[in-house]
Amino acid sequence: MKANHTEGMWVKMLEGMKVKADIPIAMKGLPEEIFAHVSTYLNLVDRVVLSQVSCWFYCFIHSPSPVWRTIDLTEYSSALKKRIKQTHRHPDRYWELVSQALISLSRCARSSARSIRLNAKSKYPYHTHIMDYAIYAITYHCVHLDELEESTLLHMIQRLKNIKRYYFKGTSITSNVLRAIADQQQCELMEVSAQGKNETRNSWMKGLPFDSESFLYFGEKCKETLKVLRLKQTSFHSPETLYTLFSICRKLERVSAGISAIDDKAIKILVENNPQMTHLKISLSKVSDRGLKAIASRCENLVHLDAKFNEGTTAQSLTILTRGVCKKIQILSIYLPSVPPEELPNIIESFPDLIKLDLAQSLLDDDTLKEIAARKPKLYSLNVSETNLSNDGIGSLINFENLIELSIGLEKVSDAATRIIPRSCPKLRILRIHQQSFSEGAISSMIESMPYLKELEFVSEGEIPFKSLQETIRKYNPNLHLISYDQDNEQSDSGSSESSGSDIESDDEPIPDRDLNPENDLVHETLLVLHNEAQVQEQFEQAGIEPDTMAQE
Amino acid sequence: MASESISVTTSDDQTIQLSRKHAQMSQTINSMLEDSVGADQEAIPLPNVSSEVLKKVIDWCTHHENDPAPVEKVKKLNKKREYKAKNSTISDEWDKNFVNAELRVIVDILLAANYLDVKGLFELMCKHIANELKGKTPDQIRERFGIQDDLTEEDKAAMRKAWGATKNDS
Repeated sequence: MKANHTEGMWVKMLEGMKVKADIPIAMKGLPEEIFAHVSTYLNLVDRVVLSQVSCWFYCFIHSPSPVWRTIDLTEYSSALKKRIKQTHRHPDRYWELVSQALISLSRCARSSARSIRLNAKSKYPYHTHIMDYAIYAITYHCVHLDELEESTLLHMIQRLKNIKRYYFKGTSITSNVLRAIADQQQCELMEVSAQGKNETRNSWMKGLPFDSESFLYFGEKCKETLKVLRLKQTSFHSPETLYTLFSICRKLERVSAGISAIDDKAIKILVENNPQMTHLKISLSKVSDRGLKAIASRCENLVHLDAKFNEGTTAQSLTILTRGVCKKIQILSIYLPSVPPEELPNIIESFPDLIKLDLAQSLLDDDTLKEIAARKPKLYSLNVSETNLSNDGIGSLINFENLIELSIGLEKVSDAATRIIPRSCPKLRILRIHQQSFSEGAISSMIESMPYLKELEFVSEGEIPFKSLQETIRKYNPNLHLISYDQDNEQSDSGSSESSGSDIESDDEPIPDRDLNPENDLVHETLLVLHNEAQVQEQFEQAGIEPDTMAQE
Repeated sequence: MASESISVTTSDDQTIQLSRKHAQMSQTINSMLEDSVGADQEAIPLPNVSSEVLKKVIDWCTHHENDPAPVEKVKKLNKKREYKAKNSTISDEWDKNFVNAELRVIVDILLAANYLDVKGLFELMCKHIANELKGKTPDQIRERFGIQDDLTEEDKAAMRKAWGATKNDS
């Protein structure tokens, strides 16, 4: 694995300067390794400035010298540090690549570019990860949302020739940038979403306006390479853009178009041209039963379907899906408010590989859950919030042997459920409690009896008594991560005593995006926090999915 | 019984006496002493260190002779570095005055500290040079270190094109 020296202005400059580089007189006699040691006291910005002093310094900073063996990254993400450490083991031109990534990092940290994340997916996998993390760190640490510098993006896109995946989150993508990406003709993944960390609910729902013409240009240029397209919270001026785009692109495997203008016709065109689809997320869209029928009749390889909250779907939607060809579905989330409860157990029979099921807001009752449980489902994740379950039904969860993630929020359950859950779900690692009025004492005793729980999440209008819970957590489960969402959807995060306070970056820690590895984003989404558990490895194996390298960190 | 003072010969043929305690602060001299146990005590040749620079090194050793043993100090430092960025702050006032010298002298002391393997002095000199580079523009660095700007306008334009201008770009 060797870097291609014909690529990149970077390397060309380095080669050119080596010819004329001469050590400055003042430094004569100073061995390079001593100067490398000096440079370990310099931060990234100072190193970059140093490289602009003379040819010798340029070559010195950019060569795979010991300069980069000690890197001051305290002001950057700890995730990047981890990645650097991990990559340290791989020698192939590593230092040079790190230099590039970090200089990009320092350069961009001063720009206001917050929301671009470039993944230089290429034949240099280590470079890819470094770059990915470096730029992710940039986007994470800059504050401003909407001040993306087009010139910065264009420079980066044109310079980093191997980039095949583009993530634009919470910012607008200009026509020039889109066309620059299109002209590379190698984009495999394009994500454009209006979702940013600081977005308000209103702007989030409004969606991101799109330049249809440029996007079609992009589709045409990248039709042979584009496999993943994510258009979350986006809107085109007319649905025809999507029709045309989906008829041009025929290699698509994953499409995510939640809260978008995607409709039945777009879905029909999409699945007709891309029957190989494996992932489809179309929640909160205009897709109705007709769209689901098109999916069910074409997509044999579908493993993930998210069609939640599509108002056009009816009680027939489940039947449509169970009678279709999508027998490989592993993750299913559809809107089931009017599906008769006796039909729900069919889900398990129809989709034998199912590992994650969302039954929220369905008519699920205790008897139905018992019937589902009797079929010994492989499920590792189950959402039964806003259903008709009672304490009795919760007891039947014991038959869900693999369950490690559970979401509940049930009117009919009482504090007694907090004693049943630990007994019924001994493997549980993630518990989400939606709008539930368990008493503080009940929650405390539940935490006490679930020492292996990793994440406890509250979605509640009321305040969660964190202070008193913290004491319980500190005593019985110091590794538990406590999360709460208040009614305005703003997340507050109260980590364990270990993680909060001691690490100032803990709140800003960029979680490695599941999309880094398209092979297993479904499982990774839920199991990121559980990556060290042998049990999870089994879950991966059962799902036929290789554990993510990111998760193994 | 070993003599309390050691003779060394510098690159300019000067013979200088230094105490055994100071000599042992140099790992290089210490190794030489261990190798020559029992042999006639001749002056140890230090062909890479001038008398002027050696006197400076002895000054530093005199001031720091009661510091913790070098090995311990390095261990502590390394442990710290695993968690924190390298800090180039020079806290000792005497050290601050010590490094207040011409660049050529600083470089010579650094080379001597490296050759003699006096870790504390070596780190001090590295920190000082790093401090001289920190927060400066390329022009200021060139001026401070007397470096000729051999980058062409083309090179600079290419750098700007590749990365954009840096904060300190002049």
